[in-house]
Amino acid sequence: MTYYLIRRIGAALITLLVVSFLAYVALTFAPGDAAEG
Amino acid sequence: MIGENASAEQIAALRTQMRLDAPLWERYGEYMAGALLRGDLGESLISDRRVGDLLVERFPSTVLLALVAMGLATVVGFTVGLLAASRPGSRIDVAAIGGTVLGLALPPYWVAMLLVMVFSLHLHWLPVFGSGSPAHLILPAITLALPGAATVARLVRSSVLEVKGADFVRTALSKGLSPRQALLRHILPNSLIPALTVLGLNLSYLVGGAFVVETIFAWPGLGRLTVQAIFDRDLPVVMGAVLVVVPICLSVNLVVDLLHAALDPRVRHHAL
Repeated sequence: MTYYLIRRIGAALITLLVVSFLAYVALTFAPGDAAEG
Repeated sequence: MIGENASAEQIAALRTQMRLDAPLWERYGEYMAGALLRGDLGESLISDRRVGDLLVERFPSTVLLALVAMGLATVVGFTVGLLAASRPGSRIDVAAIGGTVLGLALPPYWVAMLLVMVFSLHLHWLPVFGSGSPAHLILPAITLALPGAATVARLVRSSVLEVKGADFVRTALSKGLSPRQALLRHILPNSLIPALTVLGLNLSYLVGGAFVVETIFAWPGLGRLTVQAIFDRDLPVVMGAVLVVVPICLSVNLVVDLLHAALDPRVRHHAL
């Protein structure tokens, strides 16, 4: 049970890092209003 | 931020001030260290307010809407599913299944507009959008609950029918249990587990901010805040929302899995 929880929490942390990194990159490179005009 | 006529020096100064000249991974590392270790999600680029404050302000509305929608989906889903399973093949069953297909097929934004048209514009029973009173909660909650209720109803119906034909139910009936006792003691506990999983996953979607529904009904929740921030290119707010929503979804998933294991010994012995 403890091992299962540690594994799940570890996986959750990795997911959080991956998702937030993708969001950060996507937002950084998203075209602004100037690019649309 | 500094206008269209800013000089090259002003632009360069702003880039340095906002650390845009640093490599991406360095900026991300600094942001995440601040967010995870100090709880500092930065400031909104548009309103100059702390992102944490904005999220805390919006969170209760989203939780309220999510819980009401979830309660509605649970009650309606279980009732319709059990009714349909009690007389398979009957008119009630056919109507229930037809209703659930509609509930799953109709897109929420369309349902939302239809509800507004009927209950707000024609009948004048409920407000079109906004928040502040229980009446404001009804239409967004129904819109959000509909797909969840339909999924739960279908799951409850199919799992009750499946468990009804199981050997242990036949044994229970042959030992002299009334159909009602067999339903309450044997059929229901065994058939509710899949529905519970779906409800849990549904809750994580709802707490994460039901973007479309919150935007249509101008509900002041996380979803609307995030959509607005995306249109405004307000990076810190979108990142803050991501950092709040992702752990919520993951935690709800974990709780659902643990609950699943607690309710079903077969899962407990195999998975944990």
